[in-house]
Amino acid sequence: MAKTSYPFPPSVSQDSPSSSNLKVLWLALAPLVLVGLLSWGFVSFGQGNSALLTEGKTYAVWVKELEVDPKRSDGRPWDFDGSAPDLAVAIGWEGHELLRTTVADNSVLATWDPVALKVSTLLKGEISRGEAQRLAKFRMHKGMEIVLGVYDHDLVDAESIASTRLKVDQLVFGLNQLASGKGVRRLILAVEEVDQVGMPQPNEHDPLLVEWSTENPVELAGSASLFGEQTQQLLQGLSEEMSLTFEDLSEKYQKQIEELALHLQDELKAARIDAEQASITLEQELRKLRKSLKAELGK
Amino acid sequence: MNLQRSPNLKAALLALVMFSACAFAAGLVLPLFKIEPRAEEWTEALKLLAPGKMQSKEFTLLGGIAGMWQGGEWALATILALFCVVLPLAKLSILTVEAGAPEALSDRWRQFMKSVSRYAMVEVFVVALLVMLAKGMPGGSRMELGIGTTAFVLSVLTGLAAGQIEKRR
Repeated sequence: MAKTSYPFPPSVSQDSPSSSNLKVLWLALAPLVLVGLLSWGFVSFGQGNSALLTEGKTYAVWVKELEVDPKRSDGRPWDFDGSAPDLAVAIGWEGHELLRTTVADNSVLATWDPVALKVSTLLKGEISRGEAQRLAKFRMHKGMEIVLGVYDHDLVDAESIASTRLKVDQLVFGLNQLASGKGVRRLILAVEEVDQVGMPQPNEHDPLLVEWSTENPVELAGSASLFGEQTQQLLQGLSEEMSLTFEDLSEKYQKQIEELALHLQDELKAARIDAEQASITLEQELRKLRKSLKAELGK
Repeated sequence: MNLQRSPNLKAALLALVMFSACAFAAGLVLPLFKIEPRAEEWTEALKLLAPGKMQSKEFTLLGGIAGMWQGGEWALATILALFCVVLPLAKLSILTVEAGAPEALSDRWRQFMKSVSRYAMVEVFVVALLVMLAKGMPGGSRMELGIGTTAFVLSVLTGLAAGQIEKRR
């Protein structure tokens, strides 16, 4: 019978006691090491894969957080009244504005959600998911570049604080912090799968190296005026609302005044009637007295 | 049949133990199951208004134990860690020694392995318990078993098979 070779060490009985113990120790540790290494490998593989954006896949990007310096670079306050800026961010791509956040009033640190609903949209009664989401959707392809504009939203216009260009290859799945510069301390972009928006996974990566500029990028040239239009619409709405309110108020007080006048007239009429009745009664009483006096004097 | 005299059996035992160890590693860190939250007819509305709250979530065995520990459920975390991590690892170690150097294993260790083997079904029970718990989730929420569960069950089954081979010696 042929001798079978197998991958086991020779019998322990042939070894010295110390080498036997060492072999037992190694054998006992082997599965532990194997389990440890494989677990680490599975976790690393999973993290590595999940962090990278896949070519050709559609992703949603939204602005999660923005922090700016408390004052302008020249030491002046952001707003003329000394208050914090009204922050907003726009994302553009190839001349199109993909995303414009809502305006965070008086904030040096603003946070946004991927969902923002206008009251007017809610009043429509039927809302699609697209109407509610504040996302910039893009299909990942290498070399694609997006522009980011950070704005201080004023009463009549939006002033560009800083802007930058960012290659989407730099982005990873989850949260992406951008390097600071030109008044922007921290800007966090969330990148998620379109159907799974809402809870971006945290990343331990270093901030993405971007160069901030104070110029408003060409792609977002319309964003500042759009923010201005928003304000104008807001002001128009406000003035309409106020004029309506004044009209309502004047109508309301006019009615009250008319009601009061009517009430006073009624009161006066009633008082006049009472006075007439009193004078009649008084005359009657006087006549009675006169009669009784005459009678007394006649006696 | 004696393992020392049966190289084929020893090779089979070692192969099973190594496979069990690989599957066990996958079972520890890969998702055991995924929960997709639902809220009956409000599901779509909630997905719209609070998408973060309605995201599906994956659970791993180690992540679950760590979560329990961090959440202050130390007793439950310890029990799960003992029965689902420590004892299976101890069993794998003893089986490897049994395959590689059977004559070096004392009766005390063999007795220990027999005791550990009795609790092998606890691992299956834990998975079954999780499935049963998840089936009863409100609002029509769904749970899908992940690859980690398959790996874990494979690990348990191959571990049991290896234990059976060891018993035949």
